[in-house]
Amino acid sequence: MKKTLSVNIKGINFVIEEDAYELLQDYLDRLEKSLKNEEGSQEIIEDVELRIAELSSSKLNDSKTVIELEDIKEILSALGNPEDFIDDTDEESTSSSTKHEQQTSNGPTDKRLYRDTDNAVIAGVCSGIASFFKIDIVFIRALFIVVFLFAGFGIPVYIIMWIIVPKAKTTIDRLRMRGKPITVESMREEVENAAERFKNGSAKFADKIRKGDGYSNTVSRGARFISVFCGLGFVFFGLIFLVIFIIFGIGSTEIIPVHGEYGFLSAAEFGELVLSNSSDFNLFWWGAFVGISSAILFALLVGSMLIFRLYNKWAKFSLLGLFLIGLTGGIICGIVGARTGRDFFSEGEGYRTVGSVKSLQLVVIPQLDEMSIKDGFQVNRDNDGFWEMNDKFIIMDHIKFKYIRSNDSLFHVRQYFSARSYSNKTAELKSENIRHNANLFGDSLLIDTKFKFPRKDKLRDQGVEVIIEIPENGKVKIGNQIIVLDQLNQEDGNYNNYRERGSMEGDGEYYHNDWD
Amino acid sequence: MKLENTKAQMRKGILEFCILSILEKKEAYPSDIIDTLKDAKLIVVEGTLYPLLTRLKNAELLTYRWEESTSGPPRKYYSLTKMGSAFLEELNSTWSELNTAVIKITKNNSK
Repeated sequence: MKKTLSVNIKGINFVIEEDAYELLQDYLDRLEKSLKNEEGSQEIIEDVELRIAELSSSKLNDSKTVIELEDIKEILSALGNPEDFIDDTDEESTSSSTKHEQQTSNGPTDKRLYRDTDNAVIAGVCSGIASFFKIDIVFIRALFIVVFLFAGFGIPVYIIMWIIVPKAKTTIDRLRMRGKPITVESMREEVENAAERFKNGSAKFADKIRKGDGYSNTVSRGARFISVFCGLGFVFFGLIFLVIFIIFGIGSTEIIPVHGEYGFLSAAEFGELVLSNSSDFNLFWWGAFVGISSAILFALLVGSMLIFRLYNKWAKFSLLGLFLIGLTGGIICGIVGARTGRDFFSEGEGYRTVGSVKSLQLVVIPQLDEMSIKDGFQVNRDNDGFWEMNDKFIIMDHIKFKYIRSNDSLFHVRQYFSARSYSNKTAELKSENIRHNANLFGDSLLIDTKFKFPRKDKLRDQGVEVIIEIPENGKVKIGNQIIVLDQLNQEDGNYNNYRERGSMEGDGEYYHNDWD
Repeated sequence: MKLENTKAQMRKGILEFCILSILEKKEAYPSDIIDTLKDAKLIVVEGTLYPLLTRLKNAELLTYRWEESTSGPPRKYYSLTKMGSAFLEELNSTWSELNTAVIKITKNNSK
């Protein structure tokens, strides 16, 4: 008479003799021990249990309802020694395979990014990344918070990662999550292994199949290296553009150098000076914001996909979505840009006669301070002088001078104003808004070194020219220049054919024959 | 150099190739695979198959589905993934290369 036990193997109840049970239990313990370095050992044990259950149930029939010791012995001998399940024979045979075995026993090389929901604050994105790179989670969280504080960029990044990174559900997932990290060292190892394989040439196949875990062959390892490298490139440039974007775009850090106590002109302020109206400005600003930020997110996402091998449908949908959003932003900017460009289409002009004087010499006297705005700020335009502006006006310098022969014995002085807009008519209206003082007092021409126009007119290529007609034997004294008609060799009165010309800067300095 | 080791190594490399080949024709559960391999005298003990199947599955060359059985516990039916088919194709060509090479060499030596 023997004692029996009731056991449950994979949902099926068996009545088993006690010594048979002990043998079985011992077998499973040995199996677990011998598989402890094997990836997915739990699953293998389950499979073996399943097979034991299957073989056991085939031993039973209507007349035989108890699993006996002999049955279990038979089953276990069919299954073989647990120690033989993983064939390690090659470990002692060649030295090169020992290296590979060590590599596989270190943990799965097949490392994946998962969300680690066990250590999650929100969805486990940070903890997943931390265990991927084997970095302390604090650093990753700190990084996300820093990026979050900078213009909230961390939020869309986190949400996208939440969507596309799978949750670590099974033990295998968790093992993969903590597998061999991708570091510079492991990458180098990969490359060396790949090179070695190439060298081995035809031994490749044997090497690959001898090694239980060698499914990632030379080709895919090389590709993996390249894709991680490209991925890092994408992330690197994405982050650089992100920093630039945050500094110059969202933040109001000013990029166009401005002299004086008011510092610099920001990208936003410059946009406001060029774009036609506030709705265009808002459209352009949002278009640029959406376009650039989705382009940056796109680059970061492509990089992460390459590094973490996230080729799932969520990642692809996110890419498509970002592409469409970015495209929309780009199109909006393009439309606004084209509209603004159209506003430079036509040139309009206007004249004002300053006066005439009979004299041998006309002295041009620059008036420096007439136009300065005390409550405004100055904008440096290359080396060409300054803009000054306040809420209402923009002030520019660089007054152009043109000289022609007078038809009579008098000096004649005219001002010529020009601006651009979408039609001739509107351009003319803008040119009429330009203010520039020029007055004759005896033989002196008092001239402002700067001109001003309303800020609401925007920057539309506004300019002022002063045209001086010089009679025969007359001369113009301007700065340290004396302009004499004989030099001019001017034969016709065609304004488009001035040979002598010059320009005056805001500080009253005059440069002859030096327009641009 | 032990004869047993060399034999085991030769068998082992081919074993994965054969498992994939068996599953190429139709999906199967471990007992089917074991029977086929035993018939061909490729394996002596069943146990070696399970780690191999798990590895192949984790490498995403195989996938499986559960099916209820009337005579026992539920069965895992394995089948090839797309990756598995591609992998097998490569192994096939490498195998025929190796086969030709081995035959050529052993023939030359026996002459």
